[in-house]
Amino acid sequence: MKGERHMLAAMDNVITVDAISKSYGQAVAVEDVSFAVRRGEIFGMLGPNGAGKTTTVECIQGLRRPDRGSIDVLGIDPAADPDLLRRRIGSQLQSSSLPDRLHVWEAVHLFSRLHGDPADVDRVLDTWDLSKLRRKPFAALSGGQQQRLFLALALLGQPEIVVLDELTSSLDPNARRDTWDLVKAVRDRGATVILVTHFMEEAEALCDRVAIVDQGRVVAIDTPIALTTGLGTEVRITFTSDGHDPHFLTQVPGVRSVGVEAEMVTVVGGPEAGIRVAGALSERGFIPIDYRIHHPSLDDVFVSLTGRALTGKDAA
Amino acid sequence: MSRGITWIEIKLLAREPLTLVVGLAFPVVLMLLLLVSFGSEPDAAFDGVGGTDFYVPSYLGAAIAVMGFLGVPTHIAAYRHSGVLRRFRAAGVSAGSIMISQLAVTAVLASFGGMVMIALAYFGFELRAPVAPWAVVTGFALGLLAFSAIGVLLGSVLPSARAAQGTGLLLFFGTFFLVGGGPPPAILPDSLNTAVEFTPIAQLADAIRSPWVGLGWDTTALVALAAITVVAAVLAQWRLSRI
Repeated sequence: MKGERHMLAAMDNVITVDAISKSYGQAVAVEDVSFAVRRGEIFGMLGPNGAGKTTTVECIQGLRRPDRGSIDVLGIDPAADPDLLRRRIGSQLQSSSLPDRLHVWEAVHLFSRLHGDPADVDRVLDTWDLSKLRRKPFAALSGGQQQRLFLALALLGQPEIVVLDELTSSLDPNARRDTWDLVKAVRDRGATVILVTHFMEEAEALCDRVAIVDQGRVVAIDTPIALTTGLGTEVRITFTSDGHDPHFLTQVPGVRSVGVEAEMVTVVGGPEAGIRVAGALSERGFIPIDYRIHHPSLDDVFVSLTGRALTGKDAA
Repeated sequence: MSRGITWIEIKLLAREPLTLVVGLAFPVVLMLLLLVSFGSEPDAAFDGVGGTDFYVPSYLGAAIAVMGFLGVPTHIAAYRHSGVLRRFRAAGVSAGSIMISQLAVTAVLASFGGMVMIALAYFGFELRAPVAPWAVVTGFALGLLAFSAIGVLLGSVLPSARAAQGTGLLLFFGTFFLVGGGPPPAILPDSLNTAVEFTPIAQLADAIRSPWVGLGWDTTALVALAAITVVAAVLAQWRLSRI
């Protein structure tokens, strides 16, 4: 199913961004960014805060005009025709909100009218599990409920493209995972999703393809798997030595190096080392309780591409 | 499109107790205090007009100005700060629609407040009917346009609701009490009276008061209010389209 979609999608780009740049005064926000988004995929833009992700998607939505370069969204130039595009693109903007005392049902009613396509408010509330909250003021909703409402609003009028900018930043981990399910549901209804995030885990869990953005530039675009395996298939194994000398592990097939630092053992090796090292340890009767196998993550990809950690930069 | 947003804004206004108190109750109570103090006999301090007939038109202006200087800017600045304006704009709400909604909110509140003032003054303090009612209505209407535009402009420029509140209080109290909202202008220094003539709030008070007390249409004030409307609306439009 997923493979089929990809084959079909390869010929069908809904968004083409061609060499756009954008500066605010002296500060360069986006520099020579190009990429294409295929119909029906979840396309991630991953990078630290201030990398230029939001500026890029705001250009795509016609909220900003790039200084140079061109954008094509569903055959429309967003800078020239933002009103035409607005009906076909739904969005959850970063750091945007609703009036505190606006009731949930009023928000749905108002925004569906703004889309020029009055929706059946009850049905929308039902779909997003908001019926019980219909008379609640916006400010009284939990973070997760607010995001659910934002998604419902972004999806009004069945847009072909949905832009979700830092949808889960303000949520706790549980609410974040619930929201991921909603994002998948959005895609399964046939919309193309652009997901802007600075959470590596989120991009890995949701995205079909990811553009890694740093300091206004796209440094890599590929599927999460291709990006991580691009670093090689090496795994890292860690556990506490607990007084044992682990250097015998260098004899285990697949292991390339063994290091010990303050009781913490780090073994690096090929993908089979994960299992073989565990076997060798248990043969000796040593069963470390904190045995972990680390596969390369998008975080590692980011470090290897930029020389800096993705998540270290901001605490959010 | 502006209809949806306007109706929502009026509903939200009804849920804001603070705005209702400041925008509605405050000018009414202040006016009552002055009416009680000065009475309705013709008085040289008011150029031979009764205190009631002098203050009621002034406070009709206050009902507008308090929204234009305080209510609307605070509301819009809060919207801008929290990202409500961003969301509205992304949904295609134009700057014009936002201004129309604030004009409607100001009109609803000021008209209601104005009717309460007139009723209280008429039944309790011998208020005389306006000499040129249509000119009064025109002045009131142009005042609504000018001050709702000023309000949106202030709200689009000031960084936060708190900043808007402070600025609004300063603008309102700094000028309104000098243009016929406080002591009789006759007891204030001439230079001060001349200086405040150049404030929007003085033009607003004149536009309503002159025809009420029989001085006829105040064309200068009406033209000034129209000019303020245009300038403030153009600037606000420019600001709002960059949020």
